[in-house]
Amino acid sequence: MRCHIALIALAAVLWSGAASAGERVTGIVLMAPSAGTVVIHHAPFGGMPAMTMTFRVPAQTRLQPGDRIAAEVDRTTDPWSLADVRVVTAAKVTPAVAEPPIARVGDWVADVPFVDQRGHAMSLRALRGAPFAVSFIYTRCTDPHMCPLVSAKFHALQQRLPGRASLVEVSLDPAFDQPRVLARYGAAFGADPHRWHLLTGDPRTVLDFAAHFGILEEAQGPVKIVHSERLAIVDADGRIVRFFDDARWSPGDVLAALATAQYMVQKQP
Amino acid sequence: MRLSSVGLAGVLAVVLGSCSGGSTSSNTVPAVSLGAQAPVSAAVNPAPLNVIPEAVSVNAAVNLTLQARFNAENRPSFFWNGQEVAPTIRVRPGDTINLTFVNALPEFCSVGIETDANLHFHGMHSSPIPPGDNVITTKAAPGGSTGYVIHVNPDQPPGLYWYHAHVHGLSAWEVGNGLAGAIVVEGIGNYVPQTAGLRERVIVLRDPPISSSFLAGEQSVLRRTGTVTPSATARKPLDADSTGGNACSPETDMTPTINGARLASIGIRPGETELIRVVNAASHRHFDLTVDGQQLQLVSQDGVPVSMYPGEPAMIPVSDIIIPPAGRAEFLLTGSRVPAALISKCFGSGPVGNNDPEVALGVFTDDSHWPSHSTEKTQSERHVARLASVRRSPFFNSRMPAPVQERIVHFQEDPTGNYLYLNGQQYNANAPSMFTAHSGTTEEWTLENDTEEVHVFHIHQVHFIVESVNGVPNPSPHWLDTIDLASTGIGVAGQIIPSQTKVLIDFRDPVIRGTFVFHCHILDHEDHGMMAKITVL
Repeated sequence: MRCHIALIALAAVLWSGAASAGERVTGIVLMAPSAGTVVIHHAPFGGMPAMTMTFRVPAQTRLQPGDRIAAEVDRTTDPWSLADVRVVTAAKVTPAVAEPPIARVGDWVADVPFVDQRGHAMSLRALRGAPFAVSFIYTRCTDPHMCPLVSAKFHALQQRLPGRASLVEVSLDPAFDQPRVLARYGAAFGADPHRWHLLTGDPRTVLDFAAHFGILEEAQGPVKIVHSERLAIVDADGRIVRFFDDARWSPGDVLAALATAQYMVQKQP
Repeated sequence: MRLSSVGLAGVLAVVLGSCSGGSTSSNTVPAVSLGAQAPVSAAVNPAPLNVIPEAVSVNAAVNLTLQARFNAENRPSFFWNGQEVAPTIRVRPGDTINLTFVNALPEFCSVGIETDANLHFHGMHSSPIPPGDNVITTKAAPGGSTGYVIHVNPDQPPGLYWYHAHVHGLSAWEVGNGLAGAIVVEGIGNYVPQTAGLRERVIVLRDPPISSSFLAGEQSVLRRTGTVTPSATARKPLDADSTGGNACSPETDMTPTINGARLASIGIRPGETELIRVVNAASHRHFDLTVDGQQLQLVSQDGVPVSMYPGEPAMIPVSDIIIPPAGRAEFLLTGSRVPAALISKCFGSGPVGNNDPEVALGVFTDDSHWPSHSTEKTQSERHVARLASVRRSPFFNSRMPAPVQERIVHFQEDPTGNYLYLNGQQYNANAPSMFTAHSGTTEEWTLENDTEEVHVFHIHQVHFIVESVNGVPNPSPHWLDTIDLASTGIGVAGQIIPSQTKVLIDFRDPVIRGTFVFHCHILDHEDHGMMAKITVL
């Protein structure tokens, strides 16, 4: 009998030792009702289901309700204690800094204040009622595969625009591309300011607008801007209906997309 | 998208501004009221659950003016009597809600949409004809207002309902940020005697996006449906990766709140049973509520006591309750001496839907020893009343007759998830109704989900019962107005099998005549087309 008790005691010691060595628990801090204690809703661990429990913690531990923590459990105290407490996710939710929300087909195009090549205030809302194509350029751009190519193709588009459809080019160098500069650039490509709007404005606003279209840009030196290229077709209601990625789109395809959007306008009662 | 040069080092990390062109600041919904980094050596407890102010009917009518405008964080919010709050409207069957709705939102969002707003009285069996519960033509333009007169049906089951904005194209942003509040129809004590005299507590759950911008409001779910293509998504079980990065990791773009706070302590006296009334006012999030594995006694769903459908018990014991967006659940909970966590478990919304991660919403604590001011704030003073005026309903208290019409509604989306359809059609307010039904009848609808994510069916004005799901009869049919539709499954031969939910819809009440809508209550889905009209003649 005595032997049995000794064995059970030995087993208990061994078991408790095994269970507490390096046993970690994760959970959410709910409250800290008094000095040195926290109430945690923990995930299953060591044969225990997920539940709410009170634990001891070192007095200097700083935790807030809502913190997600991971810690080592010591089952030898009453209540059990936590050591090596690490905050996995702090309760205070910080804004996601990650990616800007990129516009998608079906989204409304952002209505931000621009200034056109004539120096007139303009918003894309003014173009409602007819579809338009919008793309991005900067006047000092010299890469023949990018901005000049886009503008040359815009020239071709301008000749054959259906209905009241129009064209929009937004500057990626708004600080430099003032209306006068845009007017010169437009004239070089034969832009009709009534149908082909070259837009600039508050640099931050304009570049935010471009970023919203997924345009990545980075100034490399005082003149050169490395950027991606994209064209969007916006319908008469101001919704994006199609994207053409990079600058290799064919004017025929863009015209077809504009014509489709124009057709939808005419079809409406 | 092609870059014109390699080595692009920097990417603009900007977020489009909110409607006022304002900040993209963090969600500053009133949170746990703690000093920064309070040490644990002092007691650190979440703030007591906020008690929502109530607009209560007097002499069979409640008159109120609700103003929708931006709060300090540029979020659409309700203001009532000068206070930023969506009051709980408390009425009795047969009362009238006279509500003046003022739209003081800024005229245009930065995305160029006119910020119209309106209201829907979700679950209320009242007329869809203006100035009633009409969302198709009734709306207030920015700077304008409109009036609602809602005659609470004398047969309206006593329970929890809600009101929320319902402008097609804007609903996720408006509701997600806060244009929603609770409605209580009194008298549940008449149908569930176990609740009579109990302290009751109204809980409004929301999921405001972290950014107040329109795009953040609408895109939270677009990300769900749009960025994951079915082929790229392995069907992995939930909790496959407990180290984070999986769907059950903490929330990143939304911050679920409970009566405006991220985490609340809810005082409940040990041994005392309370009626907990929860509305899921989130624009798209599911809540799967559990209280530390305790058995909860479900007494009502979607405003209707379970027992109102013939043959159903007064209470259904459950370990957890899934409340879809727009759903309501009312349950009994008994306080204990040890703290108990109110947790929303991870909810899986299908292979291409994002899942709603586990979140702690509150902790039920024994507050009988707290200082009285805490107790005052945390204890609801409302007790469930029995009403002399509640009568047996010829509709809700009777088994439904056989349907006169069978219909099928396919829930569909294009592969990008940007366009969502019912029976191949996107919502068009000017198009004829998809269905015409006849008052006095019932109809059997087969709701077929052809997509790889959960959708949430809701039909205005009426309730229904679920007959079967994927051919399996529902053993416990009771009244609902909002139901989850499971995502598609995969057959033994690898074929995609749509899910089918058969519901029996009750168009018997003669009050329900006119044109109204049915839709997916994941509101981004509704905004992107998943809604249609029905006319009841």
